[in-house]
Amino acid sequence: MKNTNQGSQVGFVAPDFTLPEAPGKNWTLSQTLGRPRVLVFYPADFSPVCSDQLTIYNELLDEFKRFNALLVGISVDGTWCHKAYSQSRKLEFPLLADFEPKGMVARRYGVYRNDDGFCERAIFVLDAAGVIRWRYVSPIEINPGADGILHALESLTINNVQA
Amino acid sequence: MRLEPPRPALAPPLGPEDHIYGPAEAVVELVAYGDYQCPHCHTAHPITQSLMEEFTGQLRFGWRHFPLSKIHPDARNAAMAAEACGDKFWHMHNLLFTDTGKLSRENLLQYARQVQIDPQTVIAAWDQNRYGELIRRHIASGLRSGVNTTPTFYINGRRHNGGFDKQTLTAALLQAIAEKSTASARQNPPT
Repeated sequence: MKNTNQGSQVGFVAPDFTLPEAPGKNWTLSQTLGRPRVLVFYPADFSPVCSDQLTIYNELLDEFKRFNALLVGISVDGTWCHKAYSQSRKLEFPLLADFEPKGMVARRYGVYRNDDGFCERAIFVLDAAGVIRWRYVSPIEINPGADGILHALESLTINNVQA
Repeated sequence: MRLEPPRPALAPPLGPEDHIYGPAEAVVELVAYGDYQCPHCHTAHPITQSLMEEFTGQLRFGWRHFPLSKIHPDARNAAMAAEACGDKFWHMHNLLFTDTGKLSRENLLQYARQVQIDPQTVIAAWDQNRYGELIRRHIASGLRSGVNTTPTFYINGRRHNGGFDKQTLTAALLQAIAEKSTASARQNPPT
């Protein structure tokens, strides 16, 4: 059963949160205002589909930088697990540990799978003001790739130019 | 409810810039985005070769580069070496898949010699980043086309979401052939 949370829908300001990005180091969403953010919720470190998905994003960091966008991964794994996983895949973006209370941020975004005890495979693209502009929950076994994220970031750019 | 994954379109379709193996009039087209250092691509290679034999005359195969350079540091050099081989591309492509992991610069130059390409041509391509822009275009087109791993396959212009074992790919190709026959029959009904 999925959680639902209206505040995590497109057009709403994304719920703020603070999570550890490394042992003893926190990451806070509201401290990154002023640039697009891409929040990638994924089920588990080291799982095959997640690894393919995050590997593609890792290759594309320069593309995301073209939009001045910041990408973070979020799962219920702990910081030490994230550290090992990140090193093994040579990931160059932060992985946030939604570990304790378990899945608290995923629940606030309506993407926690109660029956499984981990996150959906879900992506949120936030504009510079923190408003959710694109939200996608993929079938759990399907790697959604990056095209949806890039389209969303392009839309932000076009809207900014038109505004 | 189980959601069907989307099947993004290959963008752009195969064109003059692409490496294509097989007849232009083939009824089914298989395109792979891949990485010469990717173990899954090495697994897929003999399968695609075998399919080319089984579907002789009916199938053409296209390859686009999608090197995952951060985890496969030799993949980009290998892609450039393949491009530097010009009309020996497919010969080089096959050699690059013969020995997983042996893609050092020295290995790549040895492969070039095997296909009778002057190693200096390959060295110049690396030094001048001669195919960097082409590879960037391949990666960009892969992103637009929904590439989500390597290899990612497209059959008649639509992403193949299933596995790339021979049985699954064969079934998908047969289905594509059947769909094309049906569409053709609709356009040209018997008189």
